[in-house]
Amino acid sequence: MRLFALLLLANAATGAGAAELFDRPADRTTVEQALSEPIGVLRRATVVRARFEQARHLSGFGHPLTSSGEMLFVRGTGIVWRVLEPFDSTSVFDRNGMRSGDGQAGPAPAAALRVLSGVLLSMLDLDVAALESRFEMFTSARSAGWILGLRPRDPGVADFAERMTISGRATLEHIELRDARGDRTEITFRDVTTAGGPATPRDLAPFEP
Amino acid sequence: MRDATRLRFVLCALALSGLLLYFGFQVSRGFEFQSDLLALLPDAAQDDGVRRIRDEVAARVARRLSVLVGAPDADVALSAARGFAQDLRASGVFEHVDDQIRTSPVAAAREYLPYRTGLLSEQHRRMLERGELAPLHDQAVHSLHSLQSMLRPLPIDEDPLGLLSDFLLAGAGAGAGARRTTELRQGMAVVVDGGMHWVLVQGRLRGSPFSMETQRALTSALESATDALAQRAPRARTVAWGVGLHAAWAARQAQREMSLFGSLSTLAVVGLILATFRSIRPLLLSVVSLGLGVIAGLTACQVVFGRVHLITLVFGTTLVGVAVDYALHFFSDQFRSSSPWSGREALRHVGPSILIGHLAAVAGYATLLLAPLPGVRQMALFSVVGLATACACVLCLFPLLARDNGVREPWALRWARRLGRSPLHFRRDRRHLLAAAILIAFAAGGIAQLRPVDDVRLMHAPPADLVAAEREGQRLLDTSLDSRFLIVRGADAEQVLQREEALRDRLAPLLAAGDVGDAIGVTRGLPSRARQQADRQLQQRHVYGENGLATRLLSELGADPATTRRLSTVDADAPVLDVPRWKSMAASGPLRELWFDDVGGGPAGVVMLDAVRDAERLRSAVAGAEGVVLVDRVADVSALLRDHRVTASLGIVAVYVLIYLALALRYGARDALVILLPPAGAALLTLGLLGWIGSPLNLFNLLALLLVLGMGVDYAIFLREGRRTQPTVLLAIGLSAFTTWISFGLLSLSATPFVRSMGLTLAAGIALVFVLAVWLGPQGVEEDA
Repeated sequence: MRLFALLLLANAATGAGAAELFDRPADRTTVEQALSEPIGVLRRATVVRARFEQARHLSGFGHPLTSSGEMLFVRGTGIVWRVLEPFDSTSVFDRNGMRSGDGQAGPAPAAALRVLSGVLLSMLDLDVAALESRFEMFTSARSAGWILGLRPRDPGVADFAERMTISGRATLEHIELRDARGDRTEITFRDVTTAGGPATPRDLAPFEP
Repeated sequence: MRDATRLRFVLCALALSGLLLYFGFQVSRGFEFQSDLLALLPDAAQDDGVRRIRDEVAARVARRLSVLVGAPDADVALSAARGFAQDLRASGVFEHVDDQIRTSPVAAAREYLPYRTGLLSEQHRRMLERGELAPLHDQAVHSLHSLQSMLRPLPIDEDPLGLLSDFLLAGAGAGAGARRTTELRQGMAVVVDGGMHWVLVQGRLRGSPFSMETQRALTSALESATDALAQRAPRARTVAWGVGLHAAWAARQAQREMSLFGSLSTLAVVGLILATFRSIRPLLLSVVSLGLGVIAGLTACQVVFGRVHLITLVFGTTLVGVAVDYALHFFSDQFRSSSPWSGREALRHVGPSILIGHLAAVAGYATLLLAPLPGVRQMALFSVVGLATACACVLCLFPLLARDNGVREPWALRWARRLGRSPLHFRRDRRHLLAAAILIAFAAGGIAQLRPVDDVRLMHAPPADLVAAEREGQRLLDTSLDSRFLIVRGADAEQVLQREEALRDRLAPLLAAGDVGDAIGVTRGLPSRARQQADRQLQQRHVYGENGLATRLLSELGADPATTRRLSTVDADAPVLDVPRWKSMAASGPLRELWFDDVGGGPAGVVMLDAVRDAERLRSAVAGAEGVVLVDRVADVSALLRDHRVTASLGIVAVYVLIYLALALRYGARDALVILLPPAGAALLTLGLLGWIGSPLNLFNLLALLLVLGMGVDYAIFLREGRRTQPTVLLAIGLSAFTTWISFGLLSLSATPFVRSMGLTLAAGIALVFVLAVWLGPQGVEEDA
């Protein structure tokens, strides 16, 4: 019960924080300054690995649908999103859209998948220029780390993600997407490691068509 | 006699004044020209309904203009495309210009929600029919945990298995924005290719692309938008394509050719007349007769066909070279003797042969008048009326207007005299027989190599840059909307929809094999009532209800009991989606244009095809499908050109027989054969020539050969009739063959392939028929006697 109350409080806090964040529009330079540390880390890396936890807060459900697994991000190439719990399933996102290893993900419109893929790639890459062409950006000062709010310029994207926030410290640690119905998807990255040098053939193997 | 000539003069002058008045009246009201090349061909549609739909679909396609605006930088490309679209919009040439893709999957899903229990995608229907519930369940669970599940247009508590989402994704939302390679940015369709971002802008013309007014406006709107773009974004590029651009190009080309060919022909005629007659009066009179001929031809076409085709005008330039014959003949008569000459005398002397020659030429054109091709008939009518008018001028006006100007021995006559005396005339010696044998071998060898080609490309050969732009655009968008499409008809809407569903089943293997890229019809968004009811039963049995898959899935995932309960009691009496409801939905969008409420005897649906790779397989797949018609204008045109080519080759033989019989009545069986020999020989040699140079044989070559016959018989008759005054006749024929040859020869420079075909055939045929007529014709012995 106390835990529940705490959760409620935390939710309220992020909610208020978000509202405030989206009152503070920011241009490319401001954002690049605010994110200079993680951007610097990323620019030295070619491969980023992390474990993720995803929670989908859906209307009509008392508790979130959660999943977890491993993420591999090869800069300039794409993302391998491997769900391990509650079942094993791998999706690959790259410039051409998304492929699902087991074909179990169900179809989505190809154009929308390319948009989603493009958005995810530019978020993980902290590519501020690319984000700016798709989103209005917002940022606010934080005691530790950084936070970036994104509001789609594109009505097609806004249908699915009315607003998004990404935040972290030395790296990207948290993504939150909220759709027009109020459904929310939260992704938290842990054990983030980066590696420089060229990507190994093993890293690149999942991107082979 | 004197009075008769005067009377004819007065009557003719009156008639021509009337013509001029009427023509002036027409011009003041604005002459309307036609530039749609397919309008030159007859309509192959079997019935009115098919014709109506076909014309409507064709008009819709024809009015579409697509432009890709590209730049290396995405933001530059997007704003450049917005500006470009704005400029096009401001030009007023377009009904609308779209840069934004307005389809919203979420809004569409809301509209479809009340009908969801009757809607299933192919794949889900198959799974439910086979009772494959476990895979359906697993698919749903995986999907709900995946990142991409946020792209679903409906929330989980309304569509837990994603059945409606899948139905919508599989079809209803199909449109320009949903193409395989495009993505949406700021609401615009963007293709990334080779370091460039291309943004799609599409417009729909306000007027017909075949109206010259629209063409001019479209050309200038595109030019100024492109200029403005170059100012704003110097690195931006555009790729534009659409029927309108082809039509505008073809019309511009036709106008250019018309004035070029017309002025060159006129120049040749004027130069020749001045050089030969060295006097201004023959020139003025000839020009008047030609001008009146052209005006009469135009007026006749306008009265009979309503609108004059630009190609008729291009062909019509040849009237100058042909109709001047009569004037040349008339004035050449003054060289006959050194005694004073008058117009009346000329009339008495050459009048009959001018009339016979005219009748022969008109007969040639008149055979074209019988061809069931509106374009050819228009050209023939133009020529027949033009020639008749010019001939009437010569025979009725010239006798009183022509004067003897004292010229007797122009250089041309000396040439003609020399030609007449030369040993070139055929005689039965070894050299001439050998030459004849070589010619026969040449003709036979060439004819053996002739290959028929009956193709729509005869009608229009677009310039390379337009074709390249179109290819590039289609490559970038990964689409190639086919000119073929299917029409599905039935007694009522339900029957049409059921037939279209049956058709989709027939097409499924072709789509799977990639023989047809895509088939887009209304049933993608609007299944038949029968199918909706069947799908509803499937869903009620397996998905909803107490123990349904949806209910189980939701409780398994921990949904609120209220949510689960709501889904387990899905309304069994939910409405069925029907045509009026569907049409009123915004989500029916572009598919709505594929539905026709009434085309006579019931409604109809159109199924558009994308990237047809195997047309034969398509044809056999839809053969026998009830109520389905495959519309294939390209194949129709080819079949039509082929059929008419076969008919025309039989027609030529028939015309030869008829003319032979007519000549035989006057000249006897043997001489008639001699008169027909030059045109027949020229026709065979021309065919042989076409074979040797590898030019394919088509309908238009054959039609041109009919004209060669008409002109060629002329020459032979003139030579035969004018035996006694041979050099002057030879001069007249030589001059007229020369002007005719120039006029027709110019046509072989045309950019329109079939006009070029006719020009080439006529140029070769006229030259050959003249040479043969002189070679095989009577020898000028009497003059020296």
